[in-house]
Order: sequence, then C-alpha cells, then structure tokens
Amino acid sequence: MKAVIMEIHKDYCIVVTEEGRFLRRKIPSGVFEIGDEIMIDQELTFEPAKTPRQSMVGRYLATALVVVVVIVGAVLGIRFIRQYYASEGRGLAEYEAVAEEAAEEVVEEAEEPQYEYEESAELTKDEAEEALAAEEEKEGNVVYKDIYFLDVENWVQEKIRGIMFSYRVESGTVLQVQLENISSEPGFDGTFELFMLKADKSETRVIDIPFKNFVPGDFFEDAFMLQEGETSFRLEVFEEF
Amino acid sequence: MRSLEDRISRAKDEKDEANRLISEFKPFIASVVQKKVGRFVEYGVDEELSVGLMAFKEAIDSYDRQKSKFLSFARMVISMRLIDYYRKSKKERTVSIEGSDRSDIAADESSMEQYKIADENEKRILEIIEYRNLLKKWGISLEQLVDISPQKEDLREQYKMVARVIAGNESILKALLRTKRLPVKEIENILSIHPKKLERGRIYIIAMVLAMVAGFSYLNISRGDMK
Repeated sequence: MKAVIMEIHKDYCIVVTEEGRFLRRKIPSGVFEIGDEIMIDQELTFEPAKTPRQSMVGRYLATALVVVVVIVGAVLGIRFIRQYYASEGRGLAEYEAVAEEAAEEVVEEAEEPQYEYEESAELTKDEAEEALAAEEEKEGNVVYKDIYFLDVENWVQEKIRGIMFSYRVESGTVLQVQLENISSEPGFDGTFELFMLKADKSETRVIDIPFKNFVPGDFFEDAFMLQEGETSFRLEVFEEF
Repeated sequence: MRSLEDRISRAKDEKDEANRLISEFKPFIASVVQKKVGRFVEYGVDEELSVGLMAFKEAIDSYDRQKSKFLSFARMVISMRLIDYYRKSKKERTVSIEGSDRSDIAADESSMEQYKIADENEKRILEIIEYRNLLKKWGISLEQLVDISPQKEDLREQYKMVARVIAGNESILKALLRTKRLPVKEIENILSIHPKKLERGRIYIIAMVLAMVAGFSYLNISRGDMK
C-alpha cells in the first residue's frame, strides 16, 4: 500500500495512505523526507478491530480484576487490623471478645423498643453493625498509647505525631498539660485522651483534649485537679484520617 | 491563494512573512537536514538545524523565481551550507555526500521522468505543509489523527462520505467553518447516521473536509475524492 510521509519523528514517522488512514511507521533515520512516498506492508498495517465478543471478554476480565482487587484489599485490611491489635498487646481474642461484647450491647439496647415498632428489628441490627464499625474505626485510629505516672514534679515530655506532649504535677494536686505542634506537616485532627488510673489500674475518669486543625506552631495548655487515689494515666492519641 | 513563489517575493521585503515561512517550513528543513546527515535531528539540540534555518533564510533572500522552483533551490542551499559547516568543523566524513545536489539536479534534468517526479514531490511537500497549517488552525495534530483514524474500512468510508456531503453542501460547510462544530442535525437529516457515531468521528471528518475543500492534487489523502 502506498503512503505519503507527513511528519518525521525520532523513532517513527506519520504517514497517510491513499485510503485516508493515518499511521505511525518505523523508518530508518535520515533516509526519507517529508512528502516521500513509501510502500507500507499491508499486513503490518492491519490492526484487527475488536469484535463485540472480544469487547465483552475484555469487560468481564476488567470486572473480575476489580473484584479480585477488592477481595485482596479486604483481606489485607483485616490482617492489618488484627496485626495491629496483636502488636498492641491486647491480643486478637481479647479484641474479638470486646467487639462481640460491644455488638451484643448495642443489639440489646436497640432491641428494647422492638415491641413498639415491628420493623425496627432490621434497623437495630444495622445500627448495631454501624456502632461496631464506628468502634472498630475509632480503635483503628489509635496512633499512640502509653502509661504515665503522676509522682513527678518536673516536666515530662513526649513527642507524639509531631506534637510535643508535656505534663507535670504541681504540689501533688494539679496536673498541668501542655501540647505544642512542632511538626511541619498539615494540621492535626484528633484527640488526646487521658484515662486517669488508680493504683489498681481501674479508671476514674477520662480527660478529653480534642483538636481540630491543630497546625504547626499551635500551643495548648490546661490544668486539671487530681482526684483522690489517681496515681497514673493512660494516654491514648486518636487521629482522624 | 498566493503561490509559494509569491510569498517568497514578499518575504524578501517583509521580515514577518519570512519568519512565518521559516516557521511553517521547519519540518521540511528538518527532513532535508536529516537526509543529509543521516540521522534524526532535533531543534534546540542539533546545530545542523540552525545551519539549515539560516540556509533557508538565505534561500529566501537569494531566490530567483525565473530559474527554478523554490523548494529545490532551498534544498540545494541547505545541503551546500551543511557541507560548508562540516568542512569548517572538519566533520565532512559524516555528511552523506553521495553525489552533490548540483549533480543531483543535473541527473534530474537528464531525465524528464525524474524531473516530473521531483516536481510532484515538491508540490506534495507544499500541500502537506498547507494541510498541517490548516489542521493546526482547527487544533488538530497528525498524532491525533493517527489515534482516531478509523481502522475499519467501512467506518472510514462512511466518515469520508459525511465529509463529501459537507464539502459539497455550501450551507453545511459554511456552518462548519463558522462555528467550528459539526452540524450533526443537518448531516443526520441527509445521511441518517446516528449523532453519536458522527461525534466519535468528528475530528477525522473535519480533517477530511479540510483536505477536500483545499483541493489538494498531489496529497492523495482520500482516493477518488481529491483528484
């Protein structure tokens, strides 16, 4: 088939055939000029169009690929969550037990008004699942967890996710807390939760310090009166992604 | 439309016209240089192209339309300046000088057939450059045409038929040239082709219409349509 060279590039040229077909063709460098007529192999130019059957096969393959990616992603995600809890020392069994318990509690609570609304059974089940999912999500966002003791008078500092967390106990009765974003990353969204503990590790209360867009350079300071018997606190940092 | 020779005459006095010509003929200059040096050359990278550009400008300034066709003359000037350049930088051996252009021309002249072919080639080059400029005005590149050019002969023929209808219908053609949009409804009324199909082939159809309207004689893009 005859074709005219319309444009020459480094590795190829663009030709147009007599039939009005524009094609890319490999040509030796420095041999041809624009406007030269060359013969191109018809077999080489033959690019079979996809038949409807081939198109269907392609679609099925694409769909199958998406399904595989979703399944693999889900499996890896579950594995990651399990590994995370295992590494946190809580153990998978404990985590599952807590999750089950939470689900049962929510279901029980949701089941109470069952006699009032016949259709509420389905709804409460959904709510229970949502609550469990929310709980899991929250647990999943814990980025830091550690125990700190309150028998200190000097400042104790800890850098957590680009935020300098400092605390000290003044006169044995007041817990002073300071937080400063010393990172250069975008603002922090999340909560610093102080679970106040007695000597037997039982919780007395939770002090929440939430942040919304706590940007680099921001500073936070507060003081809390210690309650009787509080000897330590467990700091848990939740980050919203 | 003014001939290339007319434009050259004008370019001798008007710098803008000379610059426009150089810009339009850059692909031609590159292809001549490439053929001489025997490898791919790139603007901004290879010095030979600067030599080629200067030689083309020299050809514009010294062209005498009574003696020869401009592109043959420009090709000869570019080749000679390239040889001078290589002699100067002692790189003559890399230049493909199997037969100088003067002897090429002599050989061409010795055979009427060869002369005819060379003449046709030259006219084809002019038409290619004109076609590229036309497409450029419509924002269409040759690369784009390669990608959207229909592979199936049936479809290609259908699009060419649409292009023929547009080119042959004054009101539809005017609408296309004015709005730069394919008058889908009007075409649908005449050919009963689905609008989506027309839309898919829009660029190709426009490219064909432009070629038909330009009335190229040597750039035989659509067999049976152009001549």
